[in-house]
Amino acid sequence: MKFVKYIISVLISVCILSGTVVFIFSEKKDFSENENRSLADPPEFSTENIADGNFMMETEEYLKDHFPARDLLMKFKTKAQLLAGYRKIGDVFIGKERLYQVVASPDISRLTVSANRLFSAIESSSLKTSVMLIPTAAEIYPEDLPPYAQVIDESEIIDEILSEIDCDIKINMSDVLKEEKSKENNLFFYTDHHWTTYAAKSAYDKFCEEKNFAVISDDEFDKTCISDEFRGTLYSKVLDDSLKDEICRYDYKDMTFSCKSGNVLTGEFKAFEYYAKEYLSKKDKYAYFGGGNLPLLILENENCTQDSEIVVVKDSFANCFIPFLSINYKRIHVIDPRYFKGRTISSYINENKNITDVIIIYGINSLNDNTAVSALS
Amino acid sequence: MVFSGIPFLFFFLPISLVLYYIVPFKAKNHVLLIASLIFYAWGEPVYILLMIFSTFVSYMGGVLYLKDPKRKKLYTLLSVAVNLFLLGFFKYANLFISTISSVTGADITALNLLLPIGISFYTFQTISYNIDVYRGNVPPERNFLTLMTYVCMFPQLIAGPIVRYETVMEEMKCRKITFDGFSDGMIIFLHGLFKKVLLANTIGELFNDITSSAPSEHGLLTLWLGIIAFYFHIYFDFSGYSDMAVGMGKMLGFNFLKNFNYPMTATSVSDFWRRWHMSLTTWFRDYVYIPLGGSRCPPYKHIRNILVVWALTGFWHGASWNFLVWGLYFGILLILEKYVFGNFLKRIPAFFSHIYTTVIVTLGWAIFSLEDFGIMSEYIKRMFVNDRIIDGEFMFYSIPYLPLLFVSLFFAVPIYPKLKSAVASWKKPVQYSAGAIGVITYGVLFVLSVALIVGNAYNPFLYFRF
Repeated sequence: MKFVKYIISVLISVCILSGTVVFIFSEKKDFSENENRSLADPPEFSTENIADGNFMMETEEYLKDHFPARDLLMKFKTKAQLLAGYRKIGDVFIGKERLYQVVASPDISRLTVSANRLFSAIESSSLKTSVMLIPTAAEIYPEDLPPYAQVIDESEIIDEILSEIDCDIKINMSDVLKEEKSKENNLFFYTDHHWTTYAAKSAYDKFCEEKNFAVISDDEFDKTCISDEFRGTLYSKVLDDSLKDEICRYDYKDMTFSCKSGNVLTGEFKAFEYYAKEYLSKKDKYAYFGGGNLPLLILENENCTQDSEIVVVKDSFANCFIPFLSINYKRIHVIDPRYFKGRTISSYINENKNITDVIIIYGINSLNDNTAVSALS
Repeated sequence: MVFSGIPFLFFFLPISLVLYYIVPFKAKNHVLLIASLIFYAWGEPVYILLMIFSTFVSYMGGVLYLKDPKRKKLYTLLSVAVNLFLLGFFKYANLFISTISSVTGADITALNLLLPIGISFYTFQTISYNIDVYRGNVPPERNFLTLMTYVCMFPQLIAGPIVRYETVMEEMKCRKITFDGFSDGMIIFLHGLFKKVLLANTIGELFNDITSSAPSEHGLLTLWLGIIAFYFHIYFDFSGYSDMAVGMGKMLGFNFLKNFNYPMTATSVSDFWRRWHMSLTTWFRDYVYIPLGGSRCPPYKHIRNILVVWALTGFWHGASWNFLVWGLYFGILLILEKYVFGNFLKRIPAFFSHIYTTVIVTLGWAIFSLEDFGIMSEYIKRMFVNDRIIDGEFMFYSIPYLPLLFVSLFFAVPIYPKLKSAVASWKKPVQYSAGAIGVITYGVLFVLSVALIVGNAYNPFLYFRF
């Protein structure tokens, strides 16, 4: 049986040497579409970098990131894990037809303190304040969660947070979405942690109810499917090609607007295409809405009959919700607190005297992101 | 550099081995030395000087008395003392300073020294060398580079086994390097790699998950599952690493002694420690226990010797008081087994002595792994007194982890070697099929290991803190 060990050692030696050779001669990519992140740069060779050990760490990262057949190996790995019975890989729960983002229990006081501080810093007393908090798929579609998956009670947490914030309108999307679920449109992407445009529409309907605006029924909207090959953030962790999503866009006669992107410090603006078509050919197709997360965007609808302006303080969830607001608001100021640097949000609001509404829209997982929360005030 | 990482597996190891095999025999030790220095400098670009210094002191301790035989004891004592001081200072100074601060209330500025990688291993090797020279077990090595190669050989430098000079002395000067030896070494190396990447890393995530929240959040079975996961993790992690070291040693032509002998099959705590981290326990036996008198002395001294050795053994594992407690925990149990119920254990069916050993060792891991005494006592308490026994969380973890643990059990007992020798007696065609299955399995497991390494962030080595 000696030849077995000879064959094995030759086989493995060949595997290793080919890995080395292929690595040295292969072309290196800058960005991983699948994992949606930039791949490491070559390490910097200098005495300081070696002395403090950074050269070694950079080399490790570089070698791992550009390893030949990395994508294939990652897929093999997750297939093996799924076969072994893993139903939680990284921070993703794997249901039979749906992926779920694992959400840790957020620190409730953080958001309540920040939001209250923001609202109390607003000088105008006629300005209406709103807060909308959005749960994850685990709250709305618990039936496909893997057995015994440990999840938090998102609806209860949202209720608790809303009760502590001093504002005019409070919207807990859990109840709204649970009702909407019966209409059988998919409310959360199967492969991404965001909600779909259907869900955003129902959020808009709820907001209209609260503001006594006319609620426009779904049938009056033109729905276009802009992609049916979307594989999002949760897919990246699991790499299961059998799942994919459809992204829809709603259009309506009164829902027209132009958009410009602003530099917070200089106050300069340049024209910006809100529906960013270039993302449709990339992996992160959700960024079609709003072109990723920018610090400040202004959407203007000249044809809007109402003179009101609204500030939307948000994370990426609101991106497919914002266009609906152009029906009711002449101007929409879109602020992402994580990137809005150089001045406080309240100072921006106070400076723009025509603003009539402020709404904070967050998905529940952003509450675990300290930058997003503390930057409110 | 971690053995189970891309830089080592695909760059350092193949390139070093190719160079090593190409050069003529006289140059092989030099290639090995240079490669090992680069390997160590990769992890410790500055503290490599410390390691070289420690070896130099040890070298002088051996060589000086050749010129001055009357001062043999002095030179040995000096070199051992310097090495002990290096170990004590760099490893334990932080702990002593912070303990004195918190006990007396004095505000002594913390040193915050970073632990030089492998210092617990290489100082123990140099100390063993000097004591062996003193005892006349080995002649002093006149060539500093040869001694340096012995100390910092990359397979065992970072995480053992603790190799005695007498084991490799002959092979340093002349060793056989054959394809057969290479293949043997490769197989052992692969076993170690699979244990580390496929078993240790994956099971280790379970312990990490469970201990990421307080013990009060978990039911009884989940807490036991967590510590059992730790047991499997540290066993496959450490024995896997030792296997890789022994395998690579063989590829280079050296025969290191194995460090583990199926400790999970132990039937008593004494038996367990004759199978776990054997290079460490034999070190303490030969250089501390026996000089103190060992067991050939009145019982009160014998008990004292056991307690001293086990306090030190525990403390060697980490600069934190829980490790001292862990060592004494086993010391006391060993005393009880020797003087109270050891014979009883031998007479009851092996099944019960296995259970006794497993429970004792597992509880020991709770002391070992949960450094903070507050968390540790809470955790251990809730392993016995808990409002929830089985809960949803335990059910969630049972798949995939219970099957994974059962499968790993297969590799914690000597079934596979028996299987292999059984196959040798089968008919040729069946042997060939079994052989083909073996080749395919090793290939698939290797690709899977690489996939896990490339994809996973979690690749710790627990004994790295030594």
